Amino acid sequence: MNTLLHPALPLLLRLQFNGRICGLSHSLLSRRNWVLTLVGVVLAVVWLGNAVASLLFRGPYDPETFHRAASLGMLGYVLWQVLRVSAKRPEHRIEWTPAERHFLLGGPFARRELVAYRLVKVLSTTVLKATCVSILFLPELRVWWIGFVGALLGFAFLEMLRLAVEFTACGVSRLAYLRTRTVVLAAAIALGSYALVRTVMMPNADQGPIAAWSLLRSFGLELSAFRGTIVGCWLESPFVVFANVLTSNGVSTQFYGSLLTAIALLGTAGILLFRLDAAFEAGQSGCEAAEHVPPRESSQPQMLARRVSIPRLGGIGPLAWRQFEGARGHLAGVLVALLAPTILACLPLSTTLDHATIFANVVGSIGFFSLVLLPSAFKFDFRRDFERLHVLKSLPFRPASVALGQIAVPVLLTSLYQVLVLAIAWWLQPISAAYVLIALACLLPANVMIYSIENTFFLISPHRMRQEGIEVFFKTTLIFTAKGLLFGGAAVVVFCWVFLAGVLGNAAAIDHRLLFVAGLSALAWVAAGLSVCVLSRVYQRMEAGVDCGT
Amino acid sequence: MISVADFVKQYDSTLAADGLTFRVEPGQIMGLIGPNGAGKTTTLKALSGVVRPTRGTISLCGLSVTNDSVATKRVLSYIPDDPPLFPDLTVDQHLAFAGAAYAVADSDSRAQELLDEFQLCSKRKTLARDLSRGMRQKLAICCGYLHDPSVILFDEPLTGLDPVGIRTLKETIVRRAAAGAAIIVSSHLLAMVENLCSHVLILDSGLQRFFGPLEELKSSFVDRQQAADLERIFFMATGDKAELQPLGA
Repeated sequence: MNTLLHPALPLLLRLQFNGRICGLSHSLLSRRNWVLTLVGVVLAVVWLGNAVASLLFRGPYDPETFHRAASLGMLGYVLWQVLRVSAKRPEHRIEWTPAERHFLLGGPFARRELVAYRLVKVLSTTVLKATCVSILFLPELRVWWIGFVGALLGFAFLEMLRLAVEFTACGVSRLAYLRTRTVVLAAAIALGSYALVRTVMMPNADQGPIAAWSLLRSFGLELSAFRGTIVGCWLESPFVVFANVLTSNGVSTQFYGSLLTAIALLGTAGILLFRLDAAFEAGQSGCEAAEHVPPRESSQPQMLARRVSIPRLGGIGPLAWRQFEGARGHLAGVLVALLAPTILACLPLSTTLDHATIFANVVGSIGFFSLVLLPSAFKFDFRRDFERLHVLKSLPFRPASVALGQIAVPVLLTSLYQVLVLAIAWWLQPISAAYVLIALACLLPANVMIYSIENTFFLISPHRMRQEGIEVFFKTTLIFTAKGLLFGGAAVVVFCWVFLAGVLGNAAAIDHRLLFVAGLSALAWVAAGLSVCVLSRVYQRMEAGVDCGT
Repeated sequence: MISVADFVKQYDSTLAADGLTFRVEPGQIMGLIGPNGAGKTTTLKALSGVVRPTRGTISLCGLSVTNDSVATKRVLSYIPDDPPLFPDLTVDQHLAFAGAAYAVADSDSRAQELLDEFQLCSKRKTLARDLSRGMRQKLAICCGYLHDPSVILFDEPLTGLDPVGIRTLKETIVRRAAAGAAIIVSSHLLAMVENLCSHVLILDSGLQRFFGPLEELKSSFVDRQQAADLERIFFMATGDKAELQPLGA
């Protein structure tokens, strides 16, 4: 059979899609999850309401700016993927589930059919993404359906390029990968440093209260200035085509030209994917050829290995140690993940505001990046234990100990990041050590809360780390929205407490600043404790075999 | 039907299989036994085309596993230890997919027969994620049998099965071998291997300690005054890491 897609594979895709929809609706409407469903509906209404409001009440962005942002955004996404795989090499060209590995790799399917199956699965999410984007940017789109087509083709192109990057990173030899990684990381550091220096050296830097955001914008503009270079133009050119389709005025010769070019680019990307896979499959020199098998035990008597002494701490110790070993194995990835947030959080240090304001800006930046960026990088907790949840459940540890042991490492890593940035801030902009300690006293419980919430959401609906699909897209959107609302809620609470502390301080003749700090710190620790309790409870009630699948 | 010549598989610095050579004819059932880490699963995976040999040739029904992978997979069925299933598909849907994948002409009736035989009829509409370990094993066997393969590879097939399932599986293995299939059963249950298999391949640390008819192994390598059971022979073959020596050698 000489087909692109074996007839059994569309059947499998359809069956899996139907099964997931049935399973998702059953799960959402089950007695156990109806609270989460209600929260999800509320969040969706809020998000959609915000989106609708932005459509109704905001004016369109400048067409040229929108066009430029679209093409640059696409280029930025691809460059980010290159950076990501340079930091951490994928283990497999294609991440198959265990069932796919058994039925598909062991079944009578040609390799190209399996690649096509994978491509269809990945591209299935682009329809939803394109719909969301085309609705969100309705004021900017001259003709909605044309914008939808442009977004659809653009997302499809991005997904194909992402796969091509992953295929290549996994398919080349280890030496080639390491050399490329060195070049990519060096280029990223050089570019980032150049842009940072130019940003810091800018005359008339904004001295207003939102100096950090202004600097961030300037940093972004400096980076985007590279699009004016020959290399920048060349890199951006394919994405300009999709931006042209997206922002077309209507059906015209120009539109058809852009559309055909976009389709040709998609076709080329597809052919490239198949060729890459075939080449690496034949070569067998990449990461999939180097499957690691633990060495057989020698019959020779061996010196007893030095045993690590792990404090039990009710179970927290062994679990945290295990996650620590996992983080140690991904040290390079951890350091790369810290690079951008560290730089961004330090940007306010270059302003000429007073030290206290700068420090507040830095603390705010730290808090924001700790909430938004770091949790997706530091998944050394329940989220990487999808297939081992039943093992965790079998351990003789209390649920609270398991919860604390599992989140200990990401909390520690995030706290170390915060200590590092605060140390840099304190060194460059000397401020009373009390402020630093107060910030740490509030940030540490906030870290516990962030990872407790992240893991709670995961345990309610577990999924594999690299799993793709509409379901995961929904979950990610829900979690991101929830975190944004939490951040906003926390900001509201802080502002309210500022006011309240002033009133109470005056009434009780206590320094309101002392009262504010003590109250805020206590509130943070109470919230952290509650979030750990919730996580423990969810973990305790979770049924590993039922909730995780195989 | 299954022909392996000088099969070598190397992972980094570990030699999982070193120069294995054996042949399983139609109608034969070969037991693949050895200690943990001997290379049994690696051998089965290489036979099924899931891993590529470092060296050597593997052919099934005259087709090269490496060069004619799709054609060999059409005549082959590999049922691994703890077979992974699609959690969102029901029993019926698994069989429907297997029928479509192998282009089985009368897949509905054949699926019904298999479900009856393995007592899964009442679980037709059950999702795979809701099946017990034994039922998942049975479903994987049904999917493997659906297209009447000429070569069947089992890796610890009895794990999780109830007594009825064990008896049914053994009967189906014998019946399919009698119908001309070449079958390999990898198992630590030496009594079952001794009872079921006509040939034995003993592996240890990737090396081939013995291959041949079971009776030849018993009669040639064990003193008749001693108990000539497979377990004893297994420990002799793998315990002192020495090649089995025929009596008087």
